[in-house]
Amino acid sequence: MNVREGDAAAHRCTGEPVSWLALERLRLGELPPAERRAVEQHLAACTVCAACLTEIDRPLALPALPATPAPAPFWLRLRAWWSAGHARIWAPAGITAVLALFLLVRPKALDDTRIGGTLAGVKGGGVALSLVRERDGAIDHGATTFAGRDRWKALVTCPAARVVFWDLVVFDGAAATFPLAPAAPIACGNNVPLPGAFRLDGGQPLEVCLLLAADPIDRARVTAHDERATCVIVRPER
Amino acid sequence: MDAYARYGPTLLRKARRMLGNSADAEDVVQSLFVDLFGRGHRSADLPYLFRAVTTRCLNHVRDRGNRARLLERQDPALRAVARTRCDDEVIGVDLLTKLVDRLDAHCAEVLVYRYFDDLTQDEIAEMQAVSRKTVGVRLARVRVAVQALIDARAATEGAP
Repeated sequence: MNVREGDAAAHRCTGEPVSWLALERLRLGELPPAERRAVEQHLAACTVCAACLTEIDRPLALPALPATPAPAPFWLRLRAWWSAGHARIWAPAGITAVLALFLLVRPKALDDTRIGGTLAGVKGGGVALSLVRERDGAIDHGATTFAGRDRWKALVTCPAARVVFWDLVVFDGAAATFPLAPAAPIACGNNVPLPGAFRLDGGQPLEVCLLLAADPIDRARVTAHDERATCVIVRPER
Repeated sequence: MDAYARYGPTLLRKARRMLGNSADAEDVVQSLFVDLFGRGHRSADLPYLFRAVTTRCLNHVRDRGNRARLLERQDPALRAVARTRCDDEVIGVDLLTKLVDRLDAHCAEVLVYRYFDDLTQDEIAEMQAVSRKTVGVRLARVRVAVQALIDARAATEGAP
């Protein structure tokens, strides 16, 4: 039976249709045994769902991914650059420029509030994170110090007309915690509040980082140097 | 076998159902894997990828620059039988393009899972990490939005 729309209006599933995801997982051998048995029972009785499974069995040409050659090791690139003669011309100028930059723009680690800016997977502009502190009923936008009794909300600004996945990470040194529960993607805009509130505690400065991505964020892969992070540093009050 | 070889066909079928044409579906699926591999993620599980493709397809539909092309290129053969309908209404690409403007991100995702992928409410709840009740509330909002579109269409067709 063909299950395309048009000639299938007369055919209805005998009960709750088996989802395409379940059918695909059945074919991939990824359904747990109990679910597999239930699906197979349904398919034996329902010609519409069985025909959907047949659709999955049809061969499908998978186009090759565009080639993404791995970059050569750094030392090889450096050797090629040096042997091309660039170093003799540019090395003195480069060293001077680096020294000048270091003197003019020294790292101001814990006084900087913004580290990130744009995020991989989210095209089209900047991303900003601002924190709102509620302390004894008083609301403070852009607060940078915390005490255990404070409640915090995070506001996100990202390019409009995008819907993105998000997560909020608090780094205490290299240790990461996730103070907000995972939720659905957000629609970008100006100062979009992330759902939920959180508390911060501890005796060390904390880095509160926003992650935005076009795809769901896997917490197990989040690191302190995640390129997608836009961070704010907050300090404990003494 | 890497994630693209294993799950690529599944995701391509899913993107075709949603977008109604092969070229856009291939673009979406390929860009997902290029981004993932570019970030060093060689492996991912199917539910993660399924959700990622859903969001990317929705963003593709939200982009007004793509809409005319999507409607023009629709291949009815790629839209599988609508086993799950919204009050007897089949949700296709044309309705989807209108509904994404009326629904928030959560509800738009639920709409796709329910009416394009035939996911049960329990499966949607697991996918979105929310309760079944929340899924029910979102589905109710989807129904209201669909009904409003149908009413508007009927009023237009009935107008002299």
